Amino acid sequence: MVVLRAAVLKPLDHAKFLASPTKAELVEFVVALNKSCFGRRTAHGEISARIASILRGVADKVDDFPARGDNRRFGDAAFRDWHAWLVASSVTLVAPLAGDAAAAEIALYLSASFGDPQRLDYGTGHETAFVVFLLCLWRCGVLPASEVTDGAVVLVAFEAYSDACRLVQTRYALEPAGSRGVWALDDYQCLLFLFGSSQHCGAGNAPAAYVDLAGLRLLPDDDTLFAQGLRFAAACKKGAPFFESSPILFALAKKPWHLVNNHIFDYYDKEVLGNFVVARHLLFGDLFPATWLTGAGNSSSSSRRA
Amino acid sequence: MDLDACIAKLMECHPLSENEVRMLCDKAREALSRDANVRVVRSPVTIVGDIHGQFHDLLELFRIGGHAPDTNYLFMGDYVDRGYYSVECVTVVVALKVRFPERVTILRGNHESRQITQVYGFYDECVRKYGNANVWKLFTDLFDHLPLAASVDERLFCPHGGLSPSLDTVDQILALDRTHEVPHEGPICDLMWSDPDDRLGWGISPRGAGYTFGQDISEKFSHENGFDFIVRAHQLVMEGYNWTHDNRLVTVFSAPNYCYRCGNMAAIMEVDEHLGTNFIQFDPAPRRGGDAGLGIEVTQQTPDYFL
Repeated sequence: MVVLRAAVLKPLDHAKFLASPTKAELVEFVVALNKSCFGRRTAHGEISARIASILRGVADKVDDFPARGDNRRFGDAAFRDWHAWLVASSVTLVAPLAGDAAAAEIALYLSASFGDPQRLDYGTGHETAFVVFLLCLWRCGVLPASEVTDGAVVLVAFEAYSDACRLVQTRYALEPAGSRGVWALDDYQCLLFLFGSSQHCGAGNAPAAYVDLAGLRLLPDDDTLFAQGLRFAAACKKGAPFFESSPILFALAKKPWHLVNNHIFDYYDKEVLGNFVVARHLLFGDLFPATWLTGAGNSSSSSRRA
Repeated sequence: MDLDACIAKLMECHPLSENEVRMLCDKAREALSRDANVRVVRSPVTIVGDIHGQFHDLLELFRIGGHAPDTNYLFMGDYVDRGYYSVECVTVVVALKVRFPERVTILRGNHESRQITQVYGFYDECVRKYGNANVWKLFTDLFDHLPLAASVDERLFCPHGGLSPSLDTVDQILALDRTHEVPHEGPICDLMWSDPDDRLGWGISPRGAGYTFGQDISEKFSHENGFDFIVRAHQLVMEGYNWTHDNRLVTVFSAPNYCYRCGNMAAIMEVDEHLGTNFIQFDPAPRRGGDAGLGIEVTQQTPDYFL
């Protein structure tokens, strides 16, 4: 049986991860995806469409596991049932796409992409697990390079993923994982805003100006990933002006889109991959190897979740 | 320094200057040095749970619960992180402690820590609001002096998080050396991090610090130390307060609509002279239009990667 392992257990492991070819390859892949949707609104690709179809099926399944609504705390325990179904079904879902041999491992990254069933939370680490899922499909030759470079992976597959995430987050009231609250780019996503800002690039040096003190300033037909994330954040956070509930997104609106995109990339590198609290949850296997591990490293983590 | 003027300024949601914070922290260290690790608080007192930088909601709490010194307060920690106004929140509770040291008690929560505040927002906020980390340093140095727990009339036990397998008695807590950073493990860490659980006995915490503890543990600790029950904070509860362990333990959470999205009520717990309890629930403070504007000022300071 294939198992993934947590391999960033201590800050020292994290430093090794950050210096590893595995991390370099992940970043290279994110850079390629970011570039692929530069100034682009739509794209098409056969494999990306099949991935999107799997994700829509996964999302539809939440109807079979209705929220219990009796939570004394925040998260809804019915998420555990839906997640257990996902874990049990993911190999079957992925095998027609990836083949039986690779599916066992790749399916585990898909299962890790929607949140933590014990803690009932979701964060940028889970979003990264989904990109690792895509990376593995690409490494196995399932995902053709053309779909990576022409925007289909982001604008078809990743968009379906973020749609599914919003549904799952809302349905089961998942807590933002390890949240720094308003001082994060967003409670849940980072790459959604990275790719979405790339879609707006190429329009010159005017400030992005998607929000001001009066509220959101998005064109009604703006269906970029960025606009989707922004509208969702604004709709979820209630009772305070946007500058207060999302000060990072608010401040970025004063920059032109290409700088917004640069800054979010740097944020991803530093505050997501470069943040031990996030990186300690990353999982590794044969296709996404923990190259720095020589033997079994079983020392317990010193990181804490507040 | 004119403390009353500082408090009035803070109540208008204006942070103090770095110099004022330095003077305030000097005085606060002095005041806190007189508090034991487990401070005995006399009833009547109003007990407050997590605040997490939700300043407008803290003001609402004072409107509902009354202002010090007319109301005695026991704050159980987690003043900072996640919210937009951690600086204002922690400054005002520290200022109230300095101004009314006998009527206000402030405990240490797991977020009153150098390491945690660098991950969960208070550090970022200080840099944004002051342009450097000096104020963060002043406050996190002060946090080392906060008491670990309180007891109301030696009948209610009030830690931020919960109990510890290393601690059977209050005397053992009193003997700890508290003036350093919250450790990764051990009794001080457990008091800040542990959570009650439906399972009996001690369990591994999903948080990666502290333990979970069952009703048997709560009963034994209260019985052996002469407590009626335990009051603690540390966990979001949708009604603002939540009894568990067969009414041996209550959680109080005082940040309504936590992180602007959780839709929860907040609560404070009033304890009268006869140890009768009354919970007051409250919703987020209604906001005035004039609250905008501040955003322009404080978003000037951004980390390197946003420049």
